[in-house]
Amino acid sequence: MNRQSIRDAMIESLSGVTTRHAAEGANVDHGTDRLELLPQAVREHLAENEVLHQEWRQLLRQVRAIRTLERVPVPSDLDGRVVASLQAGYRQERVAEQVQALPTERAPRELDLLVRRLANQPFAEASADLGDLKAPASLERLVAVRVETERLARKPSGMPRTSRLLAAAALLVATSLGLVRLLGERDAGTGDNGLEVASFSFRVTRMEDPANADPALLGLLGGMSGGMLDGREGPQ
Amino acid sequence: MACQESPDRGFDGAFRDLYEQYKDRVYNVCYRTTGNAADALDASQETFGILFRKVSAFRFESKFSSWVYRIAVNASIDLKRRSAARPATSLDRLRSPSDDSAPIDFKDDEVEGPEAAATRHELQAEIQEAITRLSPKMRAITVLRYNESLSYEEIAECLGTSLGTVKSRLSRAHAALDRELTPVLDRHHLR
Repeated sequence: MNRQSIRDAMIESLSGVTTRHAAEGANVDHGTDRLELLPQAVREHLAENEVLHQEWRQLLRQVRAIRTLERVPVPSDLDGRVVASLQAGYRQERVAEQVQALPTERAPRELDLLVRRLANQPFAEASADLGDLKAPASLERLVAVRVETERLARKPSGMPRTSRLLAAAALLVATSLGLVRLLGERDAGTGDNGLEVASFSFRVTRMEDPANADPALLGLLGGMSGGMLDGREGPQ
Repeated sequence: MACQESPDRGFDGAFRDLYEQYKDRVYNVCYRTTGNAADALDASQETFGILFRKVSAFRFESKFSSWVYRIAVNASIDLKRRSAARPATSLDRLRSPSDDSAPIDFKDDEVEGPEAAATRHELQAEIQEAITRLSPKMRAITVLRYNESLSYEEIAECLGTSLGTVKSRLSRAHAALDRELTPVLDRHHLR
Protein backbone atom coordinates (compact mmCIF):
# COMPACT_ATOMS: atom_id res chain seq x y z
CA MET A 1 0.00 0.00 0.00
CA ASN A 2 1.30 3.45 -0.81
CA ARG A 3 0.90 6.46 1.42
CA GLN A 4 -2.22 7.77 -0.32
CA SER A 5 -4.01 4.42 -0.28
CA ILE A 6 -3.26 4.08 3.43
CA ARG A 7 -4.67 7.55 4.03
CA ASP A 8 -7.74 6.71 1.92
CA ALA A 9 -8.26 3.51 3.92
CA MET A 10 -7.93 5.41 7.18
CA ILE A 11 -10.46 8.00 6.09
CA GLU A 12 -12.87 5.32 4.92
CA SER A 13 -12.56 3.58 8.31
CA LEU A 14 -13.65 6.76 10.07
CA SER A 15 -17.26 5.87 9.24
CA GLY A 16 -16.96 3.47 12.15
CA VAL A 17 -16.58 6.34 14.62
CA THR A 18 -19.77 6.41 16.64
CA THR A 19 -21.12 9.05 18.97
CA ARG A 20 -19.90 6.84 21.83
CA HIS A 21 -16.39 6.98 20.40
CA ALA A 22 -16.84 10.72 20.01
CA ALA A 23 -17.48 11.09 23.72
CA GLU A 24 -14.15 9.40 24.42
CA GLY A 25 -12.37 12.38 22.90
CA ALA A 26 -13.52 14.57 25.78
CA ASN A 27 -11.97 12.24 28.32
CA VAL A 28 -8.20 12.09 28.15
CA ASP A 29 -8.19 9.10 30.48
CA HIS A 30 -10.39 7.00 28.27
CA GLY A 31 -9.44 8.31 24.84
CA THR A 32 -8.17 5.49 22.65
CA ASP A 33 -6.73 5.25 19.20
CA ARG A 34 -9.52 2.91 18.11
CA LEU A 35 -7.17 0.97 15.90
CA GLU A 36 -9.75 -1.80 15.66
CA LEU A 37 -11.64 0.39 13.18
CA LEU A 38 -8.80 -0.02 10.68
CA PRO A 39 -8.21 -2.94 8.32
CA GLN A 40 -5.46 -5.30 9.50
CA ALA A 41 -3.10 -4.28 6.66
CA VAL A 42 -3.35 -0.63 7.65
CA ARG A 43 -2.85 -1.43 11.32
CA GLU A 44 0.41 -3.15 10.44
CA HIS A 45 1.63 -0.05 8.61
CA LEU A 46 0.72 2.12 11.57
CA ALA A 47 2.56 -0.15 13.96
CA GLU A 48 5.73 0.43 11.99
CA ASN A 49 5.30 4.08 11.18
CA GLU A 50 4.69 6.67 13.89
CA VAL A 51 3.97 9.43 11.33
CA LEU A 52 1.10 7.40 9.91
CA HIS A 53 -0.10 6.58 13.40
CA GLN A 54 -0.13 10.27 14.24
CA GLU A 55 -2.05 11.01 11.05
CA TRP A 56 -4.68 8.46 12.10
CA ARG A 57 -4.97 10.09 15.54
CA GLN A 58 -5.51 13.48 13.89
CA LEU A 59 -8.20 12.13 11.56
CA LEU A 60 -9.90 10.33 14.42
CA ARG A 61 -9.79 13.48 16.50
CA GLN A 62 -11.50 15.51 13.78
CA VAL A 63 -14.28 13.03 13.28
CA ARG A 64 -14.85 12.54 17.00
CA ALA A 65 -15.32 16.29 17.26
CA ILE A 66 -17.76 16.44 14.33
CA ARG A 67 -19.70 13.50 15.69
CA THR A 68 -20.32 15.41 18.92
CA LEU A 69 -22.55 17.80 16.98
CA GLU A 70 -26.07 16.92 17.96
CA ARG A 71 -29.12 16.78 15.73
CA VAL A 72 -30.83 20.14 15.49
CA PRO A 73 -34.60 20.21 16.05
CA VAL A 74 -36.65 21.41 13.09
CA PRO A 75 -38.15 24.83 13.92
CA SER A 76 -41.91 24.81 14.10
CA ASP A 77 -42.25 27.64 11.56
CA LEU A 78 -40.80 25.49 8.77
CA ASP A 79 -44.22 23.81 8.38
CA GLY A 80 -45.96 27.13 7.75
CA ARG A 81 -43.28 28.35 5.39
CA VAL A 82 -43.38 25.17 3.33
CA VAL A 83 -47.19 25.31 3.09
CA ALA A 84 -47.04 28.97 2.01
CA SER A 85 -44.39 28.22 -0.58
CA LEU A 86 -46.38 25.26 -1.88
CA GLN A 87 -49.50 27.38 -2.27
CA ALA A 88 -47.54 30.17 -3.96
CA GLY A 89 -46.27 27.56 -6.42
CA TYR A 90 -49.83 26.49 -7.22
CA ARG A 91 -50.90 30.11 -7.74
CA GLN A 92 -48.01 30.65 -10.12
CA GLU A 93 -48.89 27.52 -12.08
CA ARG A 94 -52.54 28.57 -12.29
CA VAL A 95 -51.63 32.06 -13.54
CA ALA A 96 -49.25 30.60 -16.11
CA GLU A 97 -52.02 28.34 -17.38
CA GLN A 98 -54.40 31.31 -17.59
CA VAL A 99 -51.92 33.39 -19.53
CA GLN A 100 -51.31 30.42 -21.83
CA ALA A 101 -55.04 30.20 -22.41
CA LEU A 102 -55.29 33.80 -23.62
CA PRO A 103 -55.99 33.94 -27.36
CA THR A 104 -52.92 34.64 -29.44
CA GLU A 105 -53.09 37.62 -31.72
CA ARG A 106 -51.23 37.94 -34.99
CA ALA A 107 -49.09 41.03 -35.01
CA PRO A 108 -50.49 43.66 -37.37
CA ARG A 109 -48.30 44.18 -40.42
CA GLU A 110 -47.32 47.69 -39.31
CA LEU A 111 -45.95 46.37 -36.04
CA ASP A 112 -44.18 43.59 -37.86
CA LEU A 113 -42.48 46.10 -40.16
CA LEU A 114 -41.56 48.32 -37.24
CA VAL A 115 -39.92 45.44 -35.44
CA ARG A 116 -38.00 44.43 -38.56
CA ARG A 117 -36.78 47.99 -39.05
CA LEU A 118 -35.60 48.22 -35.44
CA ALA A 119 -33.98 44.82 -35.62
CA ASN A 120 -31.84 45.82 -38.57
CA GLN A 121 -30.62 49.06 -37.07
CA PRO A 122 -27.41 49.32 -35.08
CA PHE A 123 -27.99 49.09 -31.34
CA ALA A 124 -27.40 52.80 -30.63
CA GLU A 125 -29.79 53.96 -33.34
CA ALA A 126 -32.50 51.53 -32.33
CA SER A 127 -32.19 52.65 -28.69
CA ALA A 128 -32.43 56.30 -29.69
CA ASP A 129 -35.52 55.59 -31.79
CA LEU A 130 -37.33 53.99 -28.90
CA GLY A 131 -38.17 57.29 -27.26
CA ASP A 132 -40.15 58.43 -30.30
CA LEU A 133 -42.01 55.21 -30.96
CA LYS A 134 -45.74 55.31 -31.21
CA ALA A 135 -48.04 52.34 -31.40
CA PRO A 136 -49.00 51.74 -35.04
CA ALA A 137 -52.57 52.72 -35.88
CA SER A 138 -53.46 49.14 -36.73
CA LEU A 139 -52.46 48.04 -33.25
CA GLU A 140 -54.56 50.80 -31.71
CA ARG A 141 -57.52 49.64 -33.84
CA LEU A 142 -56.96 46.05 -32.76
CA VAL A 143 -57.01 47.18 -29.15
CA ALA A 144 -60.25 49.06 -29.64
CA VAL A 145 -61.92 46.05 -31.31
CA ARG A 146 -60.79 43.66 -28.60
CA VAL A 147 -61.89 45.99 -25.83
CA GLU A 148 -65.31 46.33 -27.40
CA THR A 149 -65.62 42.59 -28.01
CA GLU A 150 -64.68 41.92 -24.43
CA ARG A 151 -67.17 44.45 -23.15
CA LEU A 152 -69.99 43.08 -25.25
CA ALA A 153 -69.25 39.49 -24.43
CA ARG A 154 -68.99 40.33 -20.73
CA LYS A 155 -66.88 37.30 -20.34
CA PRO A 156 -65.89 36.77 -16.75
CA SER A 157 -62.15 37.11 -16.46
CA GLY A 158 -60.38 33.91 -15.57
CA MET A 159 -57.66 35.92 -13.95
CA PRO A 160 -58.02 37.80 -10.70
CA ARG A 161 -58.28 41.56 -11.15
CA THR A 162 -57.32 41.43 -14.79
CA SER A 163 -59.23 41.30 -17.98
CA ARG A 164 -58.38 40.25 -21.47
CA LEU A 165 -57.75 43.64 -22.97
CA LEU A 166 -55.00 44.51 -25.36
CA ALA A 167 -52.70 47.27 -24.19
CA ALA A 168 -50.99 48.58 -27.28
CA ALA A 169 -48.53 50.87 -25.61
CA ALA A 170 -47.35 48.30 -23.10
CA LEU A 171 -46.97 45.74 -25.84
CA LEU A 172 -44.96 48.11 -27.96
CA VAL A 173 -42.65 49.11 -25.14
CA ALA A 174 -42.16 45.52 -24.04
CA THR A 175 -41.50 44.40 -27.61
CA SER A 176 -39.07 47.23 -28.17
CA LEU A 177 -37.18 46.57 -24.97
CA GLY A 178 -36.91 42.94 -25.90
CA LEU A 179 -35.55 43.97 -29.26
CA VAL A 180 -33.04 46.35 -27.76
CA ARG A 181 -31.75 43.52 -25.61
CA LEU A 182 -31.48 41.27 -28.64
CA LEU A 183 -29.69 43.96 -30.59
CA GLY A 184 -27.32 44.54 -27.71
CA GLU A 185 -26.53 40.85 -27.59
CA ARG A 186 -26.10 40.78 -31.36
CA ASP A 187 -23.71 43.73 -31.39
CA ALA A 188 -21.72 42.44 -28.44
CA GLY A 189 -21.60 38.93 -29.82
CA THR A 190 -20.67 37.49 -33.15
CA GLY A 191 -20.75 40.71 -35.08
CA ASP A 192 -23.67 39.61 -37.23
CA ASN A 193 -25.05 42.55 -39.07
CA GLY A 194 -28.55 41.31 -39.62
CA LEU A 195 -31.11 39.84 -37.31
CA GLU A 196 -33.66 37.44 -38.69
CA VAL A 197 -37.07 38.45 -37.47
CA ALA A 198 -39.97 36.17 -38.21
CA SER A 199 -43.54 37.35 -38.08
CA PHE A 200 -44.76 36.89 -34.57
CA SER A 201 -47.87 36.57 -32.54
CA PHE A 202 -48.45 37.62 -28.97
CA ARG A 203 -50.70 37.49 -25.96
CA VAL A 204 -51.61 40.57 -24.01
CA THR A 205 -53.32 41.08 -20.71
CA ARG A 206 -54.06 44.31 -18.95
CA MET A 207 -53.96 44.71 -15.21
CA GLU A 208 -56.74 46.91 -14.00
CA ASP A 209 -54.87 47.73 -10.83
CA PRO A 210 -51.27 46.57 -10.65
CA ALA A 211 -51.16 47.47 -6.98
CA ASN A 212 -53.71 44.75 -6.30
CA ALA A 213 -52.58 42.28 -8.92
CA ASP A 214 -51.58 38.78 -8.03
CA PRO A 215 -47.81 38.83 -7.34
CA ALA A 216 -47.49 35.58 -9.27
CA LEU A 217 -49.05 37.24 -12.33
CA LEU A 218 -46.80 40.27 -11.99
CA GLY A 219 -43.78 38.01 -11.74
CA LEU A 220 -44.78 36.02 -14.79
CA LEU A 221 -45.54 39.09 -16.89
CA GLY A 222 -42.32 40.66 -15.68
CA GLY A 223 -40.41 37.72 -17.03
CA MET A 224 -42.33 37.69 -20.30
CA SER A 225 -41.87 41.41 -20.90
CA GLY A 226 -38.15 41.47 -20.21
CA GLY A 227 -38.64 43.15 -16.85
CA MET A 228 -40.87 45.92 -18.14
CA LEU A 229 -43.79 44.85 -16.00
CA ASP A 230 -41.81 43.86 -12.92
CA GLY A 231 -42.71 46.88 -10.87
CA ARG A 232 -46.14 47.87 -9.76
CA GLU A 233 -45.50 51.31 -11.20
CA GLY A 234 -45.04 49.88 -14.70
CA PRO A 235 -47.37 50.32 -17.63
CA GLN A 236 -50.81 48.89 -17.30
CA MET B 1 -45.16 9.15 -6.89
CA ALA B 2 -48.46 10.97 -7.13
CA CYS B 3 -48.24 14.39 -5.63
CA GLN B 4 -51.14 16.23 -7.17
CA GLU B 5 -52.33 18.03 -4.08
CA SER B 6 -54.82 20.82 -4.43
CA PRO B 7 -54.06 23.97 -2.47
CA ASP B 8 -57.57 23.81 -1.09
CA ARG B 9 -56.73 20.51 0.51
CA GLY B 10 -53.84 22.14 2.27
CA PHE B 11 -50.77 20.16 2.98
CA ASP B 12 -51.92 16.61 3.38
CA GLY B 13 -51.42 13.25 1.78
CA ALA B 14 -48.26 12.40 -0.09
CA PHE B 15 -46.70 15.84 0.34
CA ARG B 16 -47.19 15.77 4.07
CA ASP B 17 -45.73 12.26 4.30
CA LEU B 18 -42.74 13.30 2.25
CA TYR B 19 -42.22 16.39 4.34
CA GLU B 20 -42.49 14.52 7.61
CA GLN B 21 -40.11 11.84 6.40
CA TYR B 22 -37.41 14.22 5.24
CA LYS B 23 -37.74 17.42 7.23
CA ASP B 24 -35.23 16.41 9.90
CA ARG B 25 -32.60 15.32 7.39
CA VAL B 26 -33.17 18.33 5.14
CA TYR B 27 -33.08 20.84 7.99
CA ASN B 28 -29.99 19.32 9.58
CA VAL B 29 -28.07 19.23 6.31
CA CYS B 30 -29.08 22.83 5.64
CA TYR B 31 -28.15 23.86 9.18
CA ARG B 32 -24.74 22.23 9.09
CA THR B 33 -24.02 23.46 5.56
CA THR B 34 -25.14 27.05 6.03
CA GLY B 35 -23.99 27.26 9.64
CA ASN B 36 -26.96 29.11 11.09
CA ALA B 37 -30.66 28.68 11.79
CA ALA B 38 -32.02 31.53 9.67
CA ASP B 39 -30.26 30.41 6.49
CA ALA B 40 -31.09 26.78 7.26
CA LEU B 41 -34.77 27.67 7.42
CA ASP B 42 -34.62 29.50 4.08
CA ALA B 43 -32.66 26.69 2.44
CA SER B 44 -35.05 24.04 3.81
CA GLN B 45 -38.05 25.95 2.49
CA GLU B 46 -36.36 26.24 -0.88
CA THR B 47 -35.53 22.52 -0.81
CA PHE B 48 -39.13 21.46 -0.22
CA GLY B 49 -40.37 23.94 -2.82
CA ILE B 50 -38.09 22.36 -5.43
CA LEU B 51 -38.90 18.87 -4.20
CA PHE B 52 -42.64 19.35 -4.55
CA ARG B 53 -42.33 21.01 -7.93
CA LYS B 54 -40.09 18.34 -9.39
CA VAL B 55 -41.09 15.18 -7.58
CA SER B 56 -43.36 14.02 -10.38
CA ALA B 57 -40.38 14.14 -12.76
CA PHE B 58 -38.19 11.99 -10.49
CA ARG B 59 -37.28 8.87 -12.45
CA PHE B 60 -35.86 6.72 -9.64
CA GLU B 61 -32.55 6.43 -11.44
CA SER B 62 -30.91 7.24 -8.11
CA LYS B 63 -31.99 6.77 -4.52
CA PHE B 64 -34.78 9.16 -3.64
CA SER B 65 -33.02 10.21 -0.44
CA SER B 66 -29.85 11.02 -2.42
CA TRP B 67 -31.92 13.28 -4.64
CA VAL B 68 -33.40 15.03 -1.62
CA TYR B 69 -29.95 15.52 -0.08
CA ARG B 70 -28.68 16.85 -3.37
CA ILE B 71 -31.40 19.49 -3.52
CA ALA B 72 -30.79 20.44 0.12
CA VAL B 73 -27.03 20.76 -0.36
CA ASN B 74 -27.43 22.80 -3.54
CA ALA B 75 -30.06 25.06 -1.96
CA SER B 76 -27.78 25.68 1.02
CA ILE B 77 -24.73 26.40 -1.09
CA ASP B 78 -26.69 28.66 -3.44
CA LEU B 79 -28.13 30.55 -0.52
CA LYS B 80 -24.71 31.08 1.04
CA ARG B 81 -23.40 32.22 -2.32
CA ARG B 82 -26.24 34.73 -2.71
CA SER B 83 -25.78 36.06 0.78
CA ALA B 84 -21.99 36.20 0.54
CA ALA B 85 -22.16 39.98 0.43
CA ARG B 86 -24.06 40.10 3.70
CA PRO B 87 -22.11 40.30 6.98
CA ALA B 88 -21.13 36.90 8.32
CA THR B 89 -23.22 35.36 11.08
CA SER B 90 -21.58 35.85 14.39
CA LEU B 91 -20.87 33.08 16.81
CA ASP B 92 -23.18 34.82 19.27
CA ARG B 93 -26.08 34.12 16.98
CA LEU B 94 -25.23 30.44 16.87
CA ARG B 95 -25.09 30.35 20.62
CA SER B 96 -28.14 32.49 21.26
CA PRO B 97 -30.37 30.86 23.87
CA SER B 98 -33.42 32.34 22.14
CA ASP B 99 -32.56 30.45 18.97
CA ASP B 100 -35.12 27.68 18.94
CA SER B 101 -32.95 25.74 16.56
CA ALA B 102 -30.09 25.37 18.98
CA PRO B 103 -28.97 21.76 19.19
CA ILE B 104 -31.08 19.55 21.40
CA ASP B 105 -29.66 19.21 24.84
CA PHE B 106 -29.64 15.49 25.26
CA LYS B 107 -27.75 15.82 28.50
CA ASP B 108 -29.40 17.21 31.57
CA ASP B 109 -27.69 20.47 32.44
CA GLU B 110 -28.49 19.86 36.13
CA VAL B 111 -26.55 16.60 36.05
CA GLU B 112 -23.86 17.87 33.73
CA GLY B 113 -23.45 21.14 35.56
CA PRO B 114 -24.10 24.54 34.06
CA GLU B 115 -20.45 25.29 33.47
CA ALA B 116 -19.84 22.03 31.66
CA ALA B 117 -23.00 22.55 29.60
CA ALA B 118 -21.87 26.03 28.62
CA THR B 119 -18.46 24.71 27.62
CA ARG B 120 -20.08 21.98 25.54
CA HIS B 121 -22.32 24.50 23.76
CA GLU B 122 -19.34 26.72 23.09
CA LEU B 123 -17.32 23.80 21.73
CA GLN B 124 -20.15 22.74 19.43
CA ALA B 125 -20.50 26.28 18.10
CA GLU B 126 -16.76 26.42 17.42
CA ILE B 127 -16.76 23.06 15.65
CA GLN B 128 -19.67 24.26 13.52
CA GLU B 129 -17.76 27.46 12.74
CA ALA B 130 -14.76 25.42 11.63
CA ILE B 131 -16.96 23.39 9.29
CA THR B 132 -18.58 26.56 7.96
CA ARG B 133 -15.15 27.92 7.07
CA LEU B 134 -14.54 25.03 4.66
CA SER B 135 -15.25 25.57 0.98
CA PRO B 136 -18.86 24.74 -0.02
CA LYS B 137 -17.90 21.43 -1.66
CA MET B 138 -15.78 20.30 1.26
CA ARG B 139 -18.45 21.41 3.72
CA ALA B 140 -21.09 19.44 1.87
CA ILE B 141 -19.04 16.28 1.78
CA THR B 142 -18.10 16.57 5.46
CA VAL B 143 -21.70 17.04 6.52
CA LEU B 144 -23.01 14.20 4.37
CA ARG B 145 -20.33 11.80 5.53
CA TYR B 146 -20.08 12.55 9.24
CA ASN B 147 -23.38 14.17 10.20
CA GLU B 148 -25.64 12.18 7.90
CA SER B 149 -23.49 9.03 7.83
CA LEU B 150 -23.83 8.46 4.09
CA SER B 151 -21.70 5.94 2.25
CA TYR B 152 -19.29 7.03 -0.48
CA GLU B 153 -21.72 5.69 -3.09
CA GLU B 154 -24.60 7.73 -1.66
CA ILE B 155 -22.45 10.85 -1.48
CA ALA B 156 -21.40 10.36 -5.10
CA GLU B 157 -25.09 10.17 -6.07
CA CYS B 158 -25.97 13.24 -4.01
CA LEU B 159 -23.21 15.37 -5.41
CA GLY B 160 -23.33 13.93 -8.92
CA THR B 161 -19.66 12.97 -8.85
CA SER B 162 -17.59 9.80 -9.12
CA LEU B 163 -16.41 7.70 -6.19
CA GLY B 164 -12.86 8.81 -6.91
CA THR B 165 -13.88 12.45 -6.60
CA VAL B 166 -15.65 11.74 -3.34
CA LYS B 167 -12.51 10.12 -1.92
CA SER B 168 -10.13 12.84 -3.05
CA ARG B 169 -12.48 15.62 -1.96
CA LEU B 170 -12.95 14.05 1.45
CA SER B 171 -9.20 13.71 1.82
CA ARG B 172 -8.80 17.40 1.03
CA ALA B 173 -11.63 18.23 3.42
CA HIS B 174 -9.70 16.48 6.21
CA ALA B 175 -6.58 18.46 5.35
CA ALA B 176 -8.64 21.65 5.60
CA LEU B 177 -10.26 20.47 8.82
CA ASP B 178 -6.81 19.90 10.23
CA ARG B 179 -6.13 23.61 9.83
CA GLU B 180 -9.55 24.80 10.98
CA LEU B 181 -10.37 22.37 13.74
CA THR B 182 -7.06 21.56 15.40
CA PRO B 183 -6.72 24.94 17.18
CA VAL B 184 -10.29 24.57 18.51
CA LEU B 185 -9.66 21.06 19.80
CA ASP B 186 -6.33 22.06 21.30
CA ARG B 187 -7.98 24.94 23.12
CA HIS B 188 -10.56 22.58 24.57
CA HIS B 189 -7.96 19.90 25.35
CA LEU B 190 -9.70 17.30 23.24
CA ARG B 191 -7.89 14.22 22.00
